[in-house]
Amino acid sequence: MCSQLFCPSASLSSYLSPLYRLVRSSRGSEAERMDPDALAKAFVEHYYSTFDANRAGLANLYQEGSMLTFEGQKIQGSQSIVAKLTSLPFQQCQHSITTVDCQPSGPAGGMLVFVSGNLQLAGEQHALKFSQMFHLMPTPQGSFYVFNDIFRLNYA
Amino acid sequence: MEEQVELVGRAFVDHYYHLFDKDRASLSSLYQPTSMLTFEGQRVVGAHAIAEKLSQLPFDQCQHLISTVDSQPSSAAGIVVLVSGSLRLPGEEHLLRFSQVTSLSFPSHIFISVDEPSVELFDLLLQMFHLVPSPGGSFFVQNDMFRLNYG
Repeated sequence: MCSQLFCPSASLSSYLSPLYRLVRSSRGSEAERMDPDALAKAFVEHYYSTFDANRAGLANLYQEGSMLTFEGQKIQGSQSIVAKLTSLPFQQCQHSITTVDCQPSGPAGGMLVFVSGNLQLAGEQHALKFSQMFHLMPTPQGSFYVFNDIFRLNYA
Repeated sequence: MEEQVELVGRAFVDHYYHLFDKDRASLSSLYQPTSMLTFEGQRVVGAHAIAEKLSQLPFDQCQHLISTVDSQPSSAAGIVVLVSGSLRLPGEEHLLRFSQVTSLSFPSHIFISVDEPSVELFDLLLQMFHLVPSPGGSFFVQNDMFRLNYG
């Protein structure tokens, strides 16, 4: 049985690195057997490519209890989070990632992912620098979802 | 509940950077054997190794200036905090910008509830500032990740 890493989308595999696609087995969860650093990297690539291509597609990365703090504003629940992200005042954007750090978060099997990078908005001359923290939690199906999400622009 | 979490996060951050800037060696008291620090990509595990890493940083004095602190409950007994700010080093003309993620774990009997601020929360804040002795299993820093934000 092919398990889905982060969401049931059929286009998932196109977002994952070729190396990850080679790591498959018929038993257990691919996410569970993956090296944590590789998992974090795969998640980050999937998250930002989805964000940049179709923000509404982020919905199944969050659940009802998920929390987002976006530039100080607190939002809870997948629906509200996606409503916030799709209503941001720009049509097109491109994230480029500079650093990804991850650590296991505790006995529940969660993972903290700490990202820094640049956000280029269409029509803007300079890219915005940002930091973002994700706390990923495992699902019973062997996938992961975003439980905590904190985003901050880093102003000069 | 939100205000409680932000209050604890802010109190922790003030305490953490105060210790860092004034008495770096005493930071080891905030970590436990299972704590992890990733400092500019280098991963270190355990209070002893973390304290050693921080004491070996190539500066004797520093001052952290905090710009933003965002906190969220990460579980029934934990808080995650994202901090951004600047780091002033003596002799350096320009401030270094940084971001840092920390997760705090609390004893399981202290949980952040949605009701009014609890006695346990107040005690916890007092413990953070070492104003009262902490019982076995006080809060500690479980995860710590630090990155400079280059221009």
